[in-house]
Amino acid sequence: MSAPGRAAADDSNALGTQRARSTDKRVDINAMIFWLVQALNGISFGMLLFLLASGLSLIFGLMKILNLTHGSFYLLGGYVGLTVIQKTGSFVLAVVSAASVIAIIGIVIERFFLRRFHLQELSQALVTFGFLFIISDLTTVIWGPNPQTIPKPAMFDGAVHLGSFYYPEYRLFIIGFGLIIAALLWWLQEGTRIGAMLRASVDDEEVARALGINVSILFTLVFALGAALAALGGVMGGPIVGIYPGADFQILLLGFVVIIIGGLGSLKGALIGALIVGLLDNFGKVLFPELALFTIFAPMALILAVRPTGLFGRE
Amino acid sequence: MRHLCTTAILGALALGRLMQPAYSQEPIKIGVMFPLTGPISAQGAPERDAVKQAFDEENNTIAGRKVELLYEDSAGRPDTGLTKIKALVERDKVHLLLSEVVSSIGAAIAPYVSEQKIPWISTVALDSLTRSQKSPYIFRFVPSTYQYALVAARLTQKMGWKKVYFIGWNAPPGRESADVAKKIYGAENVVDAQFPNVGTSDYAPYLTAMDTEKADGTLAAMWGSDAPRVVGQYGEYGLNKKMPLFGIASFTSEELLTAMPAQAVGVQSAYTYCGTLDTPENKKFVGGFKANHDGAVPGSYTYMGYMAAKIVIQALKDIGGKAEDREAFIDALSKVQLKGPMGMTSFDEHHGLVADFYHLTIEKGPNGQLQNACGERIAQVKDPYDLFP
Amino acid sequence: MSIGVLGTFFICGCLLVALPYALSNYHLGLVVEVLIFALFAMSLDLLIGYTGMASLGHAAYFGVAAYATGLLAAKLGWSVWLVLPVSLGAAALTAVFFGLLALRTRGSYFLMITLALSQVVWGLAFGWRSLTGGDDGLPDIPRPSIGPYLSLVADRPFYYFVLLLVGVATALLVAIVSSPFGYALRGIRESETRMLALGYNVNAYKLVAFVLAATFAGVAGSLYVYYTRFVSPNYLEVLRSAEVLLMVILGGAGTLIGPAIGAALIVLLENVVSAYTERWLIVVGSIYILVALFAPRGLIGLARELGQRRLRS
Repeated sequence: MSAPGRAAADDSNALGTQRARSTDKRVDINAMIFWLVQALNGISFGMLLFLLASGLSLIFGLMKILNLTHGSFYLLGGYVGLTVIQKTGSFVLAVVSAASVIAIIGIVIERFFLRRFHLQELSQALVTFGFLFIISDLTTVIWGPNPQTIPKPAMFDGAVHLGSFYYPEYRLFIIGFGLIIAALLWWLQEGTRIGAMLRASVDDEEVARALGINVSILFTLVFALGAALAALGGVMGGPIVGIYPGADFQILLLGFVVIIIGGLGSLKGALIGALIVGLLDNFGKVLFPELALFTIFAPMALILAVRPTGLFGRE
Repeated sequence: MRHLCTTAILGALALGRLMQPAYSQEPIKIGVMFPLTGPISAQGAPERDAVKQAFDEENNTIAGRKVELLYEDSAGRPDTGLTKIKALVERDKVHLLLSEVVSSIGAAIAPYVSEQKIPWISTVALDSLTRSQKSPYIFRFVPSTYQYALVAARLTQKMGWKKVYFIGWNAPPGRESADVAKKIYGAENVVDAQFPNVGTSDYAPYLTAMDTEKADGTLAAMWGSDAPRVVGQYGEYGLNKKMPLFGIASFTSEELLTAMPAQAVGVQSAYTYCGTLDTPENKKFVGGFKANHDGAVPGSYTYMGYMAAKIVIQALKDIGGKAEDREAFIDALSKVQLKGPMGMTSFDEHHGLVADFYHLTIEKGPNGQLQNACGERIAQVKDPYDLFP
Repeated sequence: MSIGVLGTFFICGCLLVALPYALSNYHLGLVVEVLIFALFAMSLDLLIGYTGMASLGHAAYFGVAAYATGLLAAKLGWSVWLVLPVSLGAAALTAVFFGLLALRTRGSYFLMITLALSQVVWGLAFGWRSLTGGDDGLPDIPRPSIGPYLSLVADRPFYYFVLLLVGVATALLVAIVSSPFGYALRGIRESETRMLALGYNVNAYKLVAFVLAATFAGVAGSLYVYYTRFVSPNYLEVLRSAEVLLMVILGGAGTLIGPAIGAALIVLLENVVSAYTERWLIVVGSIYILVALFAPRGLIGLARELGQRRLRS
């Protein structure tokens, strides 16, 4: 991978100006490729964050629950996917089973532990925090404390190689997958009846109930969907980021940063916020390596100073 | 007459009872603290298990006295670690401490341990434990950061590397390793030194800034879950083809190999433990571990914990089990010459580790899983006090 | 205050004064931790329980005061009489700045913003290695000395020092919540619009409450540094903010004594449980869920309910 400013290896003085000019062009192309690679890195990481944050945002938007267990869904999804791949070798099966298993767990948690605390933020915080601790320790007991990775699906194991542009196929796959999910979620929200019921319940829950919308079932469905999305993130992220104790806390924090920037309850905000955080994280590390953590938090504080409800948040 | 005899016999028995040292009835209590939860549990848990294994091998008895191991979890946080150490010393009245992995916890405990004059055999790679925070009671039975980084720098230079990239944790072990690299290679030959934070998920920004034309190789100073990630992403961007990756210290520790992707083959490191070393002692050590762990192989963290326990056991035996006599214990400890699966180990004059290092290369083992091939042995490496005071 | 309540306080006070003579150094150390975290939790209760603002970033002020104390005591060798006010001032100043930013929101947005702001401070503590020591923090911080002869290195005198400061701070907190200001805060918690209609400058009241809460948290932070004798970025991390929030909820928000009890419970849980099982996270997590299910108003709420039920029967 070439950094900007690096002249071609076969440079020589023999052809003088002409070579110098083409070298400049080569330098420019190298520079462009470098920034393109960085941008793709940021976007692919952002897509992982989107999978997590979209669920977090949907759950908050509808149920006003700040789901502290969401990072655990990500982690547990990753571990379940890992086990399935180890037993069957199928990436697709891993993704599907992780999403399903965690969706079921999400349904149980919502139905029996969260629904009774509707609109009681402090109790919800206590419950979701409790589950965060429990799941965190359970995963260490079941899968051990050592870090794990999920092998990439064979179809995307290589890299795209165009001249000096070298980029892992899998990361491009993540970008594509993330965009497809975003499109699906958007269609669900805007183009289906369930989406309409969802939007109505978010706008005014009491009226929605009065209109005969079964808001309780909607709650459970959305929570399950959010959990499944987080699990998807865990499996998809497995091959690059790995699965290890502590990943739940780390990704939850990033998820919160995303929805703070994007705005609570907004799907569009989750996507844009995730991309922003992914890009900020990546470019921050490249341009201001000494400030690595600051490059996410400082812009976040700035955005909040200007728009306290995030970019697309509702009042 | 008979009364006199009975009285004499009873008296003799009583006297004999009185003359027996009171402490041989009390068990030897050892405080064992490691991070057992959280991301560092990947290092802490194997160490704790290995300590237990070493004492189990002695049937938890030394010189006729029972040994009681008291376990605590530092959870990887310094204030928790300090509180638990205080619990072990003041509440449980342990005779000595065997603990830790995380440098910030080590730094937080050291002043307390010195003050309390309680022997502490640590497995923290913290340089200051044999320097600014030195104490007669503190022993470090793992290489210091300067120690293992120096081996890595010198080995890679010997391999013909002239210019290197450096990527390491934004934490003292990472930064100090970079200082060592800069000193040995010369600051101008370290093309770029980057310091991602501990626990970074995505190394892409750091790795894609590396130009394979500019250096002969990359030195990497990160551990635990971060190491397999770096190896994987390094391969993802095709860097491993032109610029070999050399991990510092336990970068390719066996516990991490299961998480390493296929591109890990060829990655090198240099450390005090090599799983495939063909000696009878190592075969016994590995065999014993495999039998208790479903066929899994031990790694450097298991080895570290095991050896730390073993040297404590040896020193205790040398003083007849009198763990209360702290001065005798630390004296015995500083003199022990312990032969283990990796050869001779002992303490230097500042209580740092002296041991052999091996040049490791990851290869595919007979069952297709990854393992470390043992290359050159660098004999009896000492903490480099002269170069890095 | 009734004679009964005063009497209880007096007895508790005597017990606390007598403790060092009954407990080992280790247990005394635990009590010191409980006292410090009780103050920390009570300071947050002023925000959550009395003003109705739930914050997930309270550790920022705990940490700012802690780092100020660490730096001034260790690097500059200042006496505790100078260090404390300056550290509290630093915490208060940070709170003014953050408050002006955060108080434009409420509810979940406020929660998120306070989280974000505390992360900025954490990032600074972590990244500014030359000042803060970065990940390793600042070790070897000396205990304070009161005058030329009384050094607080030993556990017992230090315990009394902490007891005195926490006692004074608690008395101040009680005075604040019992004052007209405190009642105004309760009014704001119930309905901001009503208070506005009554002519109160709600924003000013909220800011003052925010800064007061931060200052008391700063006292706890300073004391904690003197106790552990080191500072590290852990003092500012999200987990710490979450922990103190849990202490308040567990004990019962809006009661001051509830959070103090919650703090004692969590400190003891984390230390005692881990001596018996490695799976202490599962135990503690389950306790949180059980408390949420069966004691939704916290333990104090549960005690009151049981007391009322007994009265009725």
